[in-house]
Amino acid sequence: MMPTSTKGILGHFCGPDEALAAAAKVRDAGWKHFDFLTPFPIHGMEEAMGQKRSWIPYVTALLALGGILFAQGLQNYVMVFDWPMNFGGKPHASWPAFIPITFEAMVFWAALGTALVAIIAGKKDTVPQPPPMVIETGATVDRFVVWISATDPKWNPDEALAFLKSIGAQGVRLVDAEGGAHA
Amino acid sequence: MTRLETSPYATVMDDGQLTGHPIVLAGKGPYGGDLEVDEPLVTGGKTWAEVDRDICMHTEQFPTKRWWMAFAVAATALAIGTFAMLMLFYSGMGILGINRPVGWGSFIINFVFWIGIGHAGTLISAVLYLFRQQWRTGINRAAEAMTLFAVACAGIFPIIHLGRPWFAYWLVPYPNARGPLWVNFNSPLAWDIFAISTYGLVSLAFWYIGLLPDLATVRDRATHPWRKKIYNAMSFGWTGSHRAWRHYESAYMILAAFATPLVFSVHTIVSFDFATSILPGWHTTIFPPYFVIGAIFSGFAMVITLMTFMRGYFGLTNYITTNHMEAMAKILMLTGLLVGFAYSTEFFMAWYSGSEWEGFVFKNRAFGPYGWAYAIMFTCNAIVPQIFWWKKMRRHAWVLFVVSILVNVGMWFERYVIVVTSLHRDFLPSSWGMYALTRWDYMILLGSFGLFFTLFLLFVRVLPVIAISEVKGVMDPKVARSAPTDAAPAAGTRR
Amino acid sequence: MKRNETSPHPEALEVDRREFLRVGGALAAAGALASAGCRQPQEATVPFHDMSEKLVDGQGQPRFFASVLDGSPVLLRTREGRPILVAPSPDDASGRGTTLRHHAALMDLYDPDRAPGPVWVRRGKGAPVASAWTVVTSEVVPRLAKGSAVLLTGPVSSPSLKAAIAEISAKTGLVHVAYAPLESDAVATAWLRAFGDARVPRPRLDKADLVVGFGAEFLDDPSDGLERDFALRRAPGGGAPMSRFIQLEGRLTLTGANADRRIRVRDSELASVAAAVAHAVVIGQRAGPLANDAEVAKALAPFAPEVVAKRAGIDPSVLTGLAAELAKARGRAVVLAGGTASASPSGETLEMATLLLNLSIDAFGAGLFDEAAAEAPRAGGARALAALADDLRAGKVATLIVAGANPVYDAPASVRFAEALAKVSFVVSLNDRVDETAALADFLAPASHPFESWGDEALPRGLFAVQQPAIQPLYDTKGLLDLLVAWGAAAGVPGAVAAAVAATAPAPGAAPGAPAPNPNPGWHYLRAHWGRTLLGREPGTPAFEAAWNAVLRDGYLQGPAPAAAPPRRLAVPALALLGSLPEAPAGLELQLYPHFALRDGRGANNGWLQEFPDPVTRISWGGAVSIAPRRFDEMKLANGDLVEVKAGEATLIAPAYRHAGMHHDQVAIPLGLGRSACGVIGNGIGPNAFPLRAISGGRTVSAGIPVTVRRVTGREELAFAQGSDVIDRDRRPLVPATTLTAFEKDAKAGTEQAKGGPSAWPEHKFPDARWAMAIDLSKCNGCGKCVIGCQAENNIPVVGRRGVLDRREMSWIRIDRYYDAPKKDGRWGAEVWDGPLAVVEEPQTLFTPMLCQHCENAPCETVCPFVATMHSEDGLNQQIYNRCVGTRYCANNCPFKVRRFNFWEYSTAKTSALFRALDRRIGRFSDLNTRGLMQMKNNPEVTVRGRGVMEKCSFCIQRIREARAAATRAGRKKDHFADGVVVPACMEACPTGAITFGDIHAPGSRVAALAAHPRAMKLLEATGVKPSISYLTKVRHDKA
Repeated sequence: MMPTSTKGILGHFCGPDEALAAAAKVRDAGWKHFDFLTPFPIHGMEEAMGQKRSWIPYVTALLALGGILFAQGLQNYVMVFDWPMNFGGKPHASWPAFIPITFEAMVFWAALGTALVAIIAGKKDTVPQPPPMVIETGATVDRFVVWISATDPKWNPDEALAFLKSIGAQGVRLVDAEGGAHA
Repeated sequence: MTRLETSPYATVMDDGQLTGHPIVLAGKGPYGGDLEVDEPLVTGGKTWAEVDRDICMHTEQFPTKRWWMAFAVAATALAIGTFAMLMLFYSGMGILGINRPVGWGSFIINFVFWIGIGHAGTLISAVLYLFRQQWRTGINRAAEAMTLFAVACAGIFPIIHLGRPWFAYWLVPYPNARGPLWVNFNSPLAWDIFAISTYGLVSLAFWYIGLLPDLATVRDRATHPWRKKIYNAMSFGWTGSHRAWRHYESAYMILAAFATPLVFSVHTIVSFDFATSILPGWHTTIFPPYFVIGAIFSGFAMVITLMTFMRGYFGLTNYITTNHMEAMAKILMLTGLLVGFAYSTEFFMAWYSGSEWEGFVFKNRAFGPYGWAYAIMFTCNAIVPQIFWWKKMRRHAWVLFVVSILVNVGMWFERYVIVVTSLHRDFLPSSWGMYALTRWDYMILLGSFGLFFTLFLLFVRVLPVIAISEVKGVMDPKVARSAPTDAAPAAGTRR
Repeated sequence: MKRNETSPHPEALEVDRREFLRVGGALAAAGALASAGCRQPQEATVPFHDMSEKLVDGQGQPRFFASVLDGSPVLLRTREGRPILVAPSPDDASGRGTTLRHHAALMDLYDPDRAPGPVWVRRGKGAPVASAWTVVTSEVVPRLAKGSAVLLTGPVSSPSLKAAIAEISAKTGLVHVAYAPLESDAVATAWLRAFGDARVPRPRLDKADLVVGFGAEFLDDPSDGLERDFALRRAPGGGAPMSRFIQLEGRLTLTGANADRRIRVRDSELASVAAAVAHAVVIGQRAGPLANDAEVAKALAPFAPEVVAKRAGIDPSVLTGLAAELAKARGRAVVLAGGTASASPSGETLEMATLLLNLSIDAFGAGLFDEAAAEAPRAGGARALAALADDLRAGKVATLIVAGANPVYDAPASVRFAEALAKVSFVVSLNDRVDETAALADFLAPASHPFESWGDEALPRGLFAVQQPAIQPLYDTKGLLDLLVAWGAAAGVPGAVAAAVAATAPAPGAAPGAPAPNPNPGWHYLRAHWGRTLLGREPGTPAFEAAWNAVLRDGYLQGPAPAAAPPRRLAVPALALLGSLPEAPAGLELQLYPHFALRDGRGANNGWLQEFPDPVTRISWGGAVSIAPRRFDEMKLANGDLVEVKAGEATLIAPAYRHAGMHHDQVAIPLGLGRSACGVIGNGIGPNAFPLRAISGGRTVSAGIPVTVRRVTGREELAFAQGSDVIDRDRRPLVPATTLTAFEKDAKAGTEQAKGGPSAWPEHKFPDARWAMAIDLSKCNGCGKCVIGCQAENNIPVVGRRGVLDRREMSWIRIDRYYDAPKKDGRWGAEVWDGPLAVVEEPQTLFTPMLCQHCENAPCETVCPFVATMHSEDGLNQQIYNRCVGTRYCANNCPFKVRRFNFWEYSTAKTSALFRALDRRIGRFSDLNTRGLMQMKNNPEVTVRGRGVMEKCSFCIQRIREARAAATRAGRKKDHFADGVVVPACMEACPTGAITFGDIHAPGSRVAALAAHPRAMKLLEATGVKPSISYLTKVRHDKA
């Protein structure tokens, strides 16, 4: 009686505090592939959902280092090795003159890299992959949507349905590929 | 005080009711004492749904007649500037006012001016973000946009001020068939290229990252399928998933952390163009802080100008409240004081250095043939903003507007004074000379303003001018939440 | 095959070279002009002997021609058949000097406004139409034959031309009138009456310990070459002691600006002041041979110093002191006059008094005058011109031939020449363009430029020079000599004239294939004349050809010595000149002085000369009414305010200028400006002051003219090439200067300046050659020949009046002129830069040639992001044009402001009418630099810069690299270069040897010695830029 094409189940709350509380319950109930879609980030949601801190900062650190090495490498290669010239009697490797560009290159690499990685990471981290076809339009307005993906190890539509109702989610419904809903 | 009875914690106020002081709840403290509650950042008791409507509305309806009028003016100015630029490319620098000794003129002045303007946006979004200044949420989107457009305007001038602009790309150090002939990394102009391009792109990234959730909002409100598609693509299919929010938050924090020193570095490096020369009046160690402060100063002034417009045109007074304006006025006053301090320090140093050249340059600045420019600069920048010692003035829309305009006039003249008075009388009296803008200089200056406002007007047409998701975050859920309902909302589908 | 006899090369190669030169010339010219523009002359013009062995294979090598121009020997540098540089002749024995006009003559040669061929001018009725030589000849010759024709020329000094004219006159009764607008015959008159011989010997300024000038202008008009001798004694610490120069004058001239002491006396008082000094010497000091001469005493009686000094408004002790100095320096001193002041009504008296002084201080006896170099001053011919005008009016003249004169422009208004001209039935002008006079003629038969045609010149010391062409006529023009000879022969003049024309026809029965004879009759006449008078052989004989070729190589021939000068014994009647002293004007008086660069205005269409800033006023492109500072301030004037000058009937409205050192009761206006028909470049530039002049006593009077000056509404901006005039060396020690007293105490005096801190980094090493320059400010007199020489050598464009007003001059070297603010207790405030009266009424003038200092730590190099300027291995600050993108950052950061930016496209014609209308300067600049053949003057060794590019002095790097290449070819070492191997254009043009350039690391290099000299100073030491140019102190001889 249950359609095989079910992608998952969603319901929503009307305030960040309820969402936060619900998140903890979902986590404790042992669901893994669940997500919350909210209009704005909710403080403490990571812990409530049982997620670790983002790994983005490490990427940034590497990129920053890359920028520094690139700038220093380029400037010293050009001014000292490739074609050393006498500019106003200054030494070829006049390191103080290389500092500004080194700093700028560091920022350039780190910042732009971080932005790019964050966007990609945001897409890759959702469940299921590829990201769910269906969205709850209210999630960008004033709804705090809970989503449990059919890919969850302990997936069982009836159980999920009952569970979401039990934690007070409203408008709970199963979602299939076409985005249709059934009670 | 009637409103306090209605809802003691969730205060609902109109912009007109704001006082700029915390609300005192007599006897509501945890131990029966008084409780002080900040006035709300968003007034008018808006709900989250209303926020979407108020802000997205302007991107959805056909532009008003007022918008079209403003756009026509801006576009005309842009056209005039473009014509002058074509003339410049045909005939060479000769049509401008520059000469020997004054080899840099209005173009460099405009360049520094616009770069300065471009500082407030990132400063507001990054620095105030790091300092957890929640009131920034009302203005940061527009301020960042302003930054980008100002940097765009600024970016044009170093290129057209070249004698042979068609070779400007030689400034980029890439392996080439000219030797390879690289660039001279000792030259501050080479540093500029890196600084400006980095600043422009990082600001763009910062701004766009902030835009993602709001683009999704616009998408979800969209009715026309194409509009949906376009905004969806622009938002990279943002769903509001908290697994994305997690990286997003982290990245946004990092960007802010990088953008903050970047803001200070950019104008520092711009000031190196002058500070590393040997010219009396340019060769000064105070220039980096002096330039950065000046930049923040002029940037905030421009923000105030634009916000006054937006409040008026789009009735966004509930999001950009008088409290916001007052906060900016305070910054304006502080930076104005600092700029004035820098002016006086310069004179002290000139006297203290005991150098004939320094001493003469600064005497000549204030009392020489360009004394008038110095007077305009000092009055507008150091004196006028002091009016904000009075709270009444800080909260008075027109005073704010006029002062913000005056400050930017003053800041343009600050660059005029720095560039021209130092050059026009340097070491050898035999090569002294005067400088005056020609009609072509003025046309191109006008054109840059045309470009700036054209871009800004297009921006307010197609993008949310206020950071919706951030504003929602600082609203009081008790007021803003929608009524709980069991009615299953329509499930929209994508693609 | 004449040419091969003179060639050091085998025939085949020689022919190849000819081929090369024609093709090369065409190629070089192809871009800019009709390739017909530059053909080699077909005559054997022989390269300058020092260079001939360097003509490896012609192409790409400069060829040098010794020639003569305006009476001064010059060396013409040509490339691919185009003259590209005029330099003073290095081994000139005549002692004649060059003026700016000589160095700038290229612009005249390639002047696009010259008439392209004969023109039927139609007396100004209706537009002129092109004509043909056949037509002109057919019109002129019958009339010439008919007689009652007059030939009006400028001063003629060419012997062969004189002879030709004489022959023609003898046959046809042609009357020759010569008119030289700038000459006032005062000198000649005085000397003639005093010694019965008008010839004036050459003062030996190199032998004089004391030189006193009464309005002398030997530096303003250096054509007689005195500046060279003068400079020999101006630097202290040399062999001979430094000479002292005292100048008395009204207007601050370049000469006066170089004086050790300057006394302000207005022109009309100068004569009596000179007489008073003579009085003080002869009667007061009882010194000299005239001391006991009753006649002299009687003649001088009215000139008691007290009386005269009172009238002239100076302290009598000044005169007596001067007399004492002269008496003390008897036999070691010389007194000079002969400037514009001598053109005042009292000019003859002035010259006479000067003569008395020279006699009484034994100047003649002690050999301070070089009698061997005596020559008669050019005749002014004002009386003759006036007479001619009357004849014309009376209709006594049927035909008027004008050659080299332009009376309609430069004759005094009283002559009313234009109106007289209308009475003549036929007028033909042989000038090079339809000028003011030619515009009223029937025909213009344009004469060729001296560089295009043959001629000769009589020089002092019995020297004769040949004016040999370096290029075929660029337009359809004929040499003046060719024309007169051809017309004379056609008019039936027998003898040499007829023979010369006959010689142009192929000899009867000449072998086929034999070279056709030279088609120019002038050439045949010239050679025949030289054969008769100098070489004593017939042209065509081997002996003659050998001698002739030798002359062409050397450029001159030592002829028979001139007649010995008469004994310098005073003829008593001459003293009468002292008696006939006209009354000095009660109020203001006017001096009309020749424009420093343009002189009489003949070359007014020359952009280089127009743009050259007057060394004293620093005004370029025009002139102004010079007014004394105090009077100027009293009249509440500002530079450029229009004033009206009224002299007799004539009035003139011109901008006013606050002229430092001008006598309070004198105003001055330059002559030679305000041409109305000289061409696109010079038309309407400045005021024309010629009409203000008068003729009295058969002399043109251009000084001591009573005038009234009143302010009128309106302004005309003056194109100043300099910012501020005054320098306070206590605050800005930018010019090393001191007095002889101080110098003898401490040789380093005057070079004091703030020292810089230690360097933060190790300096770069220059192991091999390193180029440097030293400029001796004691020798530099500010004449500015270096400026023109540089402009010609380095293809520097002309920016025009508008460009100078916009402060966009392009000249790589400029002469800064400062008035030294005297020391005062406490320091001068900011007001010193505005030229307070205390500074500018009795100015101490300083000249500084300012060019790229090629700093070791060049601030310009550090800031250029495009690597367009960097330092070379041999210490040059290089500017690489094709890398330069034009940020102008380098120019901003240059403390000397010597970098020049191409604000406009000067090198290609801008034709778009739309853009010309949008900004009129666009059209003007392209007209000033790119019309017609102008670009032919360009030196192929130097890049022509495009728009938007920075440029500056390169130390003539093309010559440096040429020297390196030569060393490579010769297999010599290139680590060091001896002195004189590389001579930059400025040094080459400098007449006084003030500029020394060389490899400072070479053993025994002169520049190294000078850089180490105690007088040497490098500018702005405190900035740590370390210039490569050392300036040697300007020492002022202050010891009476």
